[in-house]
Amino acid sequence: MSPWKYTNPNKFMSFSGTILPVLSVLSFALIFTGLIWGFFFTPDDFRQGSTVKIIYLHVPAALVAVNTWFVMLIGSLVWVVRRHHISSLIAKAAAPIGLTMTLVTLATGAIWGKPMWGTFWAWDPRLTSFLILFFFYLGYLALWKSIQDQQKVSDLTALLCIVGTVFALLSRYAVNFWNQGLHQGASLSLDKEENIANIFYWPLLVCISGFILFFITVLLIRTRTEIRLKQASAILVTKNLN
Amino acid sequence: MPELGQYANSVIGAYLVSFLIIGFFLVRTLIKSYRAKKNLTQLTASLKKFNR
Repeated sequence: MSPWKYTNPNKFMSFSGTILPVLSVLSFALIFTGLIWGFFFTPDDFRQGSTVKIIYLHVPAALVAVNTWFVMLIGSLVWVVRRHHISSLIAKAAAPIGLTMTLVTLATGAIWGKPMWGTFWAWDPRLTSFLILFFFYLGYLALWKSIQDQQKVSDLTALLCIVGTVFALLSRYAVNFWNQGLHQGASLSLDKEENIANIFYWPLLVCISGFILFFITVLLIRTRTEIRLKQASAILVTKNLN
Repeated sequence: MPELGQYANSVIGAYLVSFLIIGFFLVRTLIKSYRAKKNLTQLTASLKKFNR
């Protein structure tokens, strides 16, 4: 069973239509559980007080914001190599989700930063690379809207995505490269000793799982929309030719 | 409601802003999806009529 069969729009629509209800219920259940658990049933942090509760939105949003760009990168590379239209549509569908999550990350980060650092913003490596990532998302979406020729715009946006991956990587790993800056280190790590305390870790993990499933759910909905728009424009072309 | 202390405004503000941004985006996504589906259904029906 090859995964490439889902590059056929009809097979993709059929498969995604089947799993969407389950994914949407599961994602909302996990987000709801994680947020309720984190907000109501975890203590304040000894340094950050109750602002630590912002972590259950800020960190999952940041993870999705960065990893959405990598999903777009995979879609773009598949388009460049194999020219499957679905892959470029998936990249196009993912971008607004990444933009939204980057905005949530920047907004919650600014609100969190004010009481902790005394400022809404600082030109910290991690914050700055996230802001650049936000502008890359805006640029990517603007490029899709600016060119009518579908082949050309898929090629150009794929190129932009490949170039912008540098900033997505910087956003993810900036804290490892630079020791200066206000932003704290990773909340989650493969090294158990670097993780936040278990009492915050488990509800955070539930929230992250919920956000990931939310991303997949919305990505499928948006990709299905793009496929329908493409089919509609093909029908209009057929009608005009006749 | 947990005791949020001096940071209550920041915490509630962060949650409100996040729900607003994500909520607005989700509603837009669903509306666009509904319109695209409706439009395609109408176009497919009109094409079938046209081809008879």
